[in-house]
Amino acid sequence: MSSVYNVIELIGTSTDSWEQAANNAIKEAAMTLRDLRVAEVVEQDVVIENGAISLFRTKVRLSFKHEAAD
Amino acid sequence: MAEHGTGVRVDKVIRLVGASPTSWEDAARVVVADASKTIRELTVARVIDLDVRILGDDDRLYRVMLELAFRVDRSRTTPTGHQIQVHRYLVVGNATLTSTELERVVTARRLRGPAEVHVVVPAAAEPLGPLLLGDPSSGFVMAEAQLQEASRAASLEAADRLEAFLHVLERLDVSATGEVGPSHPVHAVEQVLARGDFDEIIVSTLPSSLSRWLRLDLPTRLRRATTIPVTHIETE
Repeated sequence: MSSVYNVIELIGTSTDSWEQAANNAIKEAAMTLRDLRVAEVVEQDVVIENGAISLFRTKVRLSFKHEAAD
Repeated sequence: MAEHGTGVRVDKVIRLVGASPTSWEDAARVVVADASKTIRELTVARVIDLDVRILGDDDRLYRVMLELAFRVDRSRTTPTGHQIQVHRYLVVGNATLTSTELERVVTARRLRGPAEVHVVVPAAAEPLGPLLLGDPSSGFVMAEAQLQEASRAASLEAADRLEAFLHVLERLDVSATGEVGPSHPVHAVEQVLARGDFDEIIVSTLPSSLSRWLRLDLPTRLRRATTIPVTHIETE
């Protein structure tokens, strides 16, 4: 049986860590998507304000099974 | 992330490496704090690479390489709302920082127009170990990490002199920033030049009979390492 997957990218942010930022993105996605299996970290950066880091950001790529109408 | 540089003219992109025994986040904070000493307009830094050095059973070193993009902008807005262009000078010195000779030279520069000075005092303890040094072939510059106890005293003395000199500059109506940099003066200057831009480097040393930096032939080495004019002042 063949499967089709959707792929989306989300950016999560956190004032504490890149790990928490990734968690926030995944939590958000899990509210509307079922069967999330793997999240891949695509990019990480920081937002700087007044010479200090104000936000850690993690971009994650999530794939989930495409549910065909049947 | 996608908004990097959109609509913003970027003049300079640099990569800096930071290290922390506790986390990549701390390592990133080290880099940002270090870069902010000379760069005013940092808004975003992108992660290029992350790794962990395994130094012993429970001894880890988290390293992050960040890429910072920023504008080299010489226009400033005065408190009265006027747009002005500033000249930027890098002062390198330690024992002779508060000499009247150096003060005279800075005053002369100030008379030419609005001026900003960044001061580097090459006196910090070396970073943790040889593994952490920047890689000159790839152009990576090691951000200042932990200081070792051994040369703490010299660093603290340097910090006192720096503070005294910053007060002098304030009195001369020159906006100033400063840092205690690596103890090798050439490395200290290279590290600053990697993240800032300047119109002139002013090197202040003791007379040649006493100066360790002149035995290194510092002014000549700086002239060779950069295209920025280098002015050398010798003080008793």
